[in-house]
Amino acid sequence: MAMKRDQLLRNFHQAKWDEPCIFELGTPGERGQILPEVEADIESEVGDVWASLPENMRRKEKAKLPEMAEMQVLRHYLRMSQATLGADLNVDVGQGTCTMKYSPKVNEKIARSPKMTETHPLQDVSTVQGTLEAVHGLDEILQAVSGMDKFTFQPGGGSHAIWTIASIMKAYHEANGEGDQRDEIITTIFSHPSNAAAPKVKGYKIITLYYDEDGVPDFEALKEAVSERTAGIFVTNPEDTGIYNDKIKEFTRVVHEVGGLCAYDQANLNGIMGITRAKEADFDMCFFNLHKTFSAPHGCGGPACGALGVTEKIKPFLPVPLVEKIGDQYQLDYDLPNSIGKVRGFIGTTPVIVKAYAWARALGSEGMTEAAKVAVLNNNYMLKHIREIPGATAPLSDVKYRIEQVRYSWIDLCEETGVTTHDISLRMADYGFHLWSSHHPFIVPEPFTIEPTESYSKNELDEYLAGLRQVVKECRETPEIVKTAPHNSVISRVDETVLDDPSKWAITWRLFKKKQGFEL
Amino acid sequence: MKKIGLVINPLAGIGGKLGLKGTDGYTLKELREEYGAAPISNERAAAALKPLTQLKEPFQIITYGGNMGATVADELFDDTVCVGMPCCDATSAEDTIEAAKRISEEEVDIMLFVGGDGTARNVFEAIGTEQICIGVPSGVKMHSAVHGLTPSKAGELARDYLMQSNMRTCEAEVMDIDEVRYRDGSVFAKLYGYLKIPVDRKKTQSKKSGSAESERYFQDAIACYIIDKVMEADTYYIIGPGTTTAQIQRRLDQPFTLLGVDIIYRGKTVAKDLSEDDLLQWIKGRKSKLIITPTGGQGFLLGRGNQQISSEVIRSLGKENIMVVATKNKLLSFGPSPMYIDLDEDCNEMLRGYHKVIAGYEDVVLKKITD
Repeated sequence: MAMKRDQLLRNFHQAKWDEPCIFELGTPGERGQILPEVEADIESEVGDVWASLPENMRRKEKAKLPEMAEMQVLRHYLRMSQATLGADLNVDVGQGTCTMKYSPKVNEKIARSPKMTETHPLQDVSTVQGTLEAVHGLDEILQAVSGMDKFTFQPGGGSHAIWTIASIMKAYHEANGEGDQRDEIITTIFSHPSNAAAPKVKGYKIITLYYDEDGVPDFEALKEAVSERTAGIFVTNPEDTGIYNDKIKEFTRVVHEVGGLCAYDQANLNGIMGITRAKEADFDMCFFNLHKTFSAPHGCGGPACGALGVTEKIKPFLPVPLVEKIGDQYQLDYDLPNSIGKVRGFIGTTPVIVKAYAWARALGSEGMTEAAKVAVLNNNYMLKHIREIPGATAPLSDVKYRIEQVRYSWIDLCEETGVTTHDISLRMADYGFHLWSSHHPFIVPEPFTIEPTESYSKNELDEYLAGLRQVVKECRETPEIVKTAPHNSVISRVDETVLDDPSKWAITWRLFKKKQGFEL
Repeated sequence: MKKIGLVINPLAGIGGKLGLKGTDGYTLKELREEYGAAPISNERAAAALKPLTQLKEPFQIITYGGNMGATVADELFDDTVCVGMPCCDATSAEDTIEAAKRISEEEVDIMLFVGGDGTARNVFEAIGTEQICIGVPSGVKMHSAVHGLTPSKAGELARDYLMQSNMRTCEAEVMDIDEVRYRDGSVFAKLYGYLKIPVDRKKTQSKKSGSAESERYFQDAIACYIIDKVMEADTYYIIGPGTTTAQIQRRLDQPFTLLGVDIIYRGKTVAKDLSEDDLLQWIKGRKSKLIITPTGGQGFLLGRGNQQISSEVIRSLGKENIMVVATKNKLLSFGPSPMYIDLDEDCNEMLRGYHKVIAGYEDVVLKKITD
């Protein structure tokens, strides 16, 4: 008899090893593989190997690496992996905006082929035609998806793509003699924080639009915001709320009328690919996160790729080199006189590009459109059921359907029981689920964001819903267990006040030791 | 040993279930006999005090007599000290003020006060911004940002503050509505002052989000932008009330009045806490600009809590000389609602529409102003 997932929650408990940091392990002199000494005649033939390394690159003292045997290293990292609730392990629909779809392992195999791993970016192009074919192939696919005329894969992620777009905007307006005049960028409050931050780094002043009564960016405010100072607009559609702005073409029209450029942050492509395109909405530029919609793994912060596409008029400003096909050969094209130069090394993170290419080729255009439709269907299935959970709401709009994700709110439940979204997310971990709120500041109060994608089965969605219902029940009946969660995880609550104290931040072991007063 | 102050307003919240808009002007006897009301503040106080039982270090409760704290505290704790008694059963605002004063004089580490906006106002009147405190929500009017999300969250916040050495604090707005006018249908919200509260993004009432650190950062970013890029040497700057505007003077290392209207000229405070007449005198014949911030909760920009900046002052300045500053956190607390003004019709007409609000360093938000 099949297990009824909507009534059954797992008796989950995460492995708890209390594993130290690797720098606290090992013994002086302990080694993994001890290599044999180099034979004398080889050594005399090769000569002084160190002489070929520039003086300024040679270490003055040995690297302070942990000294551990191979078995101990393996055990350490296996234990650490058991202490994470990663995408391959849990029903990760609670990590909204990240598009946590399946990353097919066959694509990992392809990217690990020696034909990829044993190449060097400075090799002659005639020896890496296969890689360049994949890059060019993905370029053509993304052109079809977006309607844009050319893609670069140099940006290392979404925020980097946004920065690249801001750089292109600056170069474009300078080439038109309006560089000093156009110093304002318009974006929206629901856009990713990078849509304001990256242009800011580029020296732009930022104008932020709030949402209107329908939960979409305020069009009247946009009309007030544009002027001869407008360099461009950065907008996402649908935004992380899942509400589609059907006036998007009016937005681009208004910005174009004052001479600005329109950039489309398509981090939320997954629900609209094959259905609507940047070109038809009159955008000049768009970017896709290959590590989201195109299934390349997120990798906990990379490697990634923000594939940036532009129209013909913007192409001269793209970073170089571009990959072009001339005859039956793939070449690197550096001949863009107005190019902004490099934003990163070489042509981009090729393993990520190849994985995305393989995914797109496996699905084809019909498959990708179907994936978008299933993602929307799954999202609206969750929306219907979550709206029925007392205490959960989908605020900002009463539209019956949303696109690929929803920004919900627990505010009603919180006011009734005192339990917050943070408490609920930690209690969900006790059932083996990840639940994420959203970026700060919380525009929607006590938020949580669900994005099921096309990858999860109905059974898995039902299992997640069962988890939500169970935790909500506990909020009302036994709130203390929620407020003190997690109980089945690796650790329990931590003192988060340190996150608000920059003097305590340390992102390396060395800095941590320094700030704690340990011997370096 | 830690000392925890406790003052309860026995009347707070009674009016809620009866549909009363607050309890100012009523006595407990009236509420009981005429309306059949039952007090709720002791129950709320008990919920707030419960998390304190988890404190590992010994502590003492410093409180006031009878239903103003001692009754509840004695039931829960062994070590309580009573610093005074209310004048009679029919407690009043004066009792709350006296209680808060006396408790604060005992140098408590934190003071819990049980009540709503009215109680918060009384506590502010008694202790100002120096004493760390947290409101236990038990009022009908809850517009201030000084209360915990719920009574137990207020208690948890107090507990966490006492247990942790590095919890941040911030000045939170004490707002109140004139209840007599509210009962007649007019909403009159006013900024009364600021109380210093510990901050945990998950436990305080304000719809604002983000940490105290991020709020202070953005207020400072606004101040830096104004000083670096906006202020001109030949211009007098009228600084409206609020912590966001006061940050400009803090940055310049100048004196300021948190609730009053000051003037800066060439980086120095040249006048403080001005009346309407003072302002009109100052700006006559001088190049002047106004820097104001909306008050939290309802988003009033002009006409509430800063009546010195009258229609006459606004008319003298002109729309182009008015700058609005507010952090994104504060703007988010209004949701999609506009900022409100309440001036004469000419000024309302002049200011209606979208306005660029300075929300950071070269960072503005388009927000509507309406009357």
